[in-house]
Amino acid sequence: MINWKNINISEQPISQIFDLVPEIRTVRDTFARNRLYKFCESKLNKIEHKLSHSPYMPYTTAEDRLNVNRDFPTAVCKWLSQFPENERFGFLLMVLSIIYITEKEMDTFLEIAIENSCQVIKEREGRSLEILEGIEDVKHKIIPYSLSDTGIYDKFIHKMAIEGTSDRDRRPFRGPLGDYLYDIFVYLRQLAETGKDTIYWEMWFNNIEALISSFLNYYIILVEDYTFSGRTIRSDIKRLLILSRIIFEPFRQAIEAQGYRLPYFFLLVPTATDIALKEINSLFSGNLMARRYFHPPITGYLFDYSYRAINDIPQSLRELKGVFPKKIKLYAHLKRSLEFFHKEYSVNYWTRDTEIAARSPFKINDYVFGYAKGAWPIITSRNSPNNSLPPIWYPHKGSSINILPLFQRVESRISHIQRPVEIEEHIRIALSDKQGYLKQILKEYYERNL
Amino acid sequence: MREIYNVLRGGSPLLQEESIHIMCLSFEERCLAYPQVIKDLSLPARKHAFFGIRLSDENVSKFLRELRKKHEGVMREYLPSIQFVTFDETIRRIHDFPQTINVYIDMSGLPRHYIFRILKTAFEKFEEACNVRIFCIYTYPKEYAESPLQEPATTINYIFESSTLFREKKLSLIILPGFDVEYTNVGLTHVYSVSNREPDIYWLIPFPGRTYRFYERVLESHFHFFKRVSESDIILYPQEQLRLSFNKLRKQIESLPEPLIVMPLGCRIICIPTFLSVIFTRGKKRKIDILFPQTSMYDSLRSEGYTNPLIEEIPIDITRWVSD
Repeated sequence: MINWKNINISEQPISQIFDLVPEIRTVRDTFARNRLYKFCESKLNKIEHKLSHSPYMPYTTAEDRLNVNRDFPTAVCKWLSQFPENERFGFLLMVLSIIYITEKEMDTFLEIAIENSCQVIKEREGRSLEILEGIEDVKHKIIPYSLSDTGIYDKFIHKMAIEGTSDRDRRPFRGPLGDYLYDIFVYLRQLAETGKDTIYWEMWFNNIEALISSFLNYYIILVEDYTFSGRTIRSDIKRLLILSRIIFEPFRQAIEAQGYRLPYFFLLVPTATDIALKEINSLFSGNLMARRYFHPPITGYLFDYSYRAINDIPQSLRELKGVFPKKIKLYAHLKRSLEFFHKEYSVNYWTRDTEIAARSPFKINDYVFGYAKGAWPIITSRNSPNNSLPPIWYPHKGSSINILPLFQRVESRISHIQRPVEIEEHIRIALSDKQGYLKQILKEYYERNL
Repeated sequence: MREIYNVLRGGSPLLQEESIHIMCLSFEERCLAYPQVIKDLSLPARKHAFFGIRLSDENVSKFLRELRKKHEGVMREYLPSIQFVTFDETIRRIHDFPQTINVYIDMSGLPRHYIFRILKTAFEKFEEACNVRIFCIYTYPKEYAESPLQEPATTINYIFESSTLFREKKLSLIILPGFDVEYTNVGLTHVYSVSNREPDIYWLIPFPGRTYRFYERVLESHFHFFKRVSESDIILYPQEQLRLSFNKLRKQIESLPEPLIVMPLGCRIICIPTFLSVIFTRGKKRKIDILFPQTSMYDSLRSEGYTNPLIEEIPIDITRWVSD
């Protein structure tokens, strides 16, 4: 364990940071040194200022041992001093590239995404040439679902002022959509396997019936706060598409002939990356059925490749290239420090702590940059995504690794390890519906109710 | 704002209506984006008129004047029927426009005081017209060049008649900063010197801007201001969502004591909701004006290329945009 008492942090943490990093100590030119000082100062001050208005939330329940929320520059100084001297420059570059998204920024991204969704809904209603006003007249057609447990769902409902704003009992399923789908696929599997041969079939089908009547004619908005790789959302969408293929698609013509409209799904993600969008949109390209049910994701802001620390330093650091002598390759330092950290510490996260590596298609060295080779130096005030550069957030809360991260991640993936395996089995059986029981039950339902 | 191709595309009924397209001849390449879109739409000439605003060459370097000339040639090639007119002539022409017309105004190459003047003229002219639709167009450049920042002049533009504001009690000042802090400094110095007292300052930071990086650049360049400001005095201002930003600024204006000054210094796109919120609250007899410093000399090119233009219809009856 680091003994902080032995580390003397001066009144000017930036000078102290400079002393800790040999590559900066060698910058002798006063002009370059001043420029570097100013650069570091403005980056660290900005993050400190953001933290003062919107503290990193995990530290409201866990001990902020580096005092990140109160004195960020000093915290950086202490954090750097944990690492070997020749690796610190790379770590410093990571810190300088951090994008800290405050609560207010997240809320504004949400407002923007909602405004954009109003536009999209108007277009869907065939009213794209009208002046953009509110969507008071279509609010009753909107049903929101949450894709995860974050507070964004409540904020979305509140900002849209839709059903469930004041009466929480009127909200649809209050857990994440994934949990709801899990239950639905369990029922579908049972019906496909046993049909009406058990006394429980009506109870199971009641749940399917409730889902059908709450989806038909509605715009279903799926809300998630952010997505970096798009992989989790993609799998939720994929399951919804399979669900639609089972319960709506075979009866589409009959449904539409009776004047009903198929459900139409919007995915609303206030903060996303271009990689995530590409991953999600790949589900829709060339897939007519998917496009019949889904609108491409609606975002508040899209972070593009220029923010990533892959192949080159993020664009916000490019100015530094003019400060250091050409022989100092900034990206090479950053990458080397990432590799060092991966080998010494964070490899445990992917293999032992969460077993993510066993469930994902990536090579172990890809995790050097975070999940799905993320390399996003982005942290939100709510948590650190594991697609972000691991040295910033690892060890996560509960880990026994003996160093301190700047923005400790609260891990959410550990408790759900078994579920994906089971749900895939339920889906497989429901989809194949070997005896045709499920299709028959649905057919009878539509004949009765359309 | 929406991608222009979502609104103006072949077969759109809008294109069959009589329309006037106003655009600005600029040294920035992005002034060519909208003419190119119109060219590609092959509009029926008898229903569409095109005006290119030719601005004064004063305080524009020779290099940039040459570029402007080059762009004039391209615009003529795209739109052979375009008429190039001075800004004052444009204003006169707006007064002659019929009361049933669609007006498209491309703001991309227009300096901000012209944006405000053109909007003001259009709103005065069409105040009572119910068959006029106004569309604003804005094009971002593809890249911002790494050239030196421009210098603000000491000349300050007022959009309405502010002289009386400063004789009154303490001012409330709403600043929408750009990443160049010099413009903020010049604007503030002016307000201090004219009013002889410190105003109450509120910040609406354009967010996230074309890129989040620009927003962060504003935070970095204005740090010495923001570090003294409480969280509640900073509002994030979604610059591309005009209706949303109109309502944010309107609510802020309505919550503050008057007299009030709004200083829009960020990307030009913010001029539209700023104008709308100010005329909306002026209509309610609020003492409010817009001011900002001019640029002393345009001598370097700060943008390159262009992206797809964005478009949004703005309501002449602004109450249609008011929401809580």
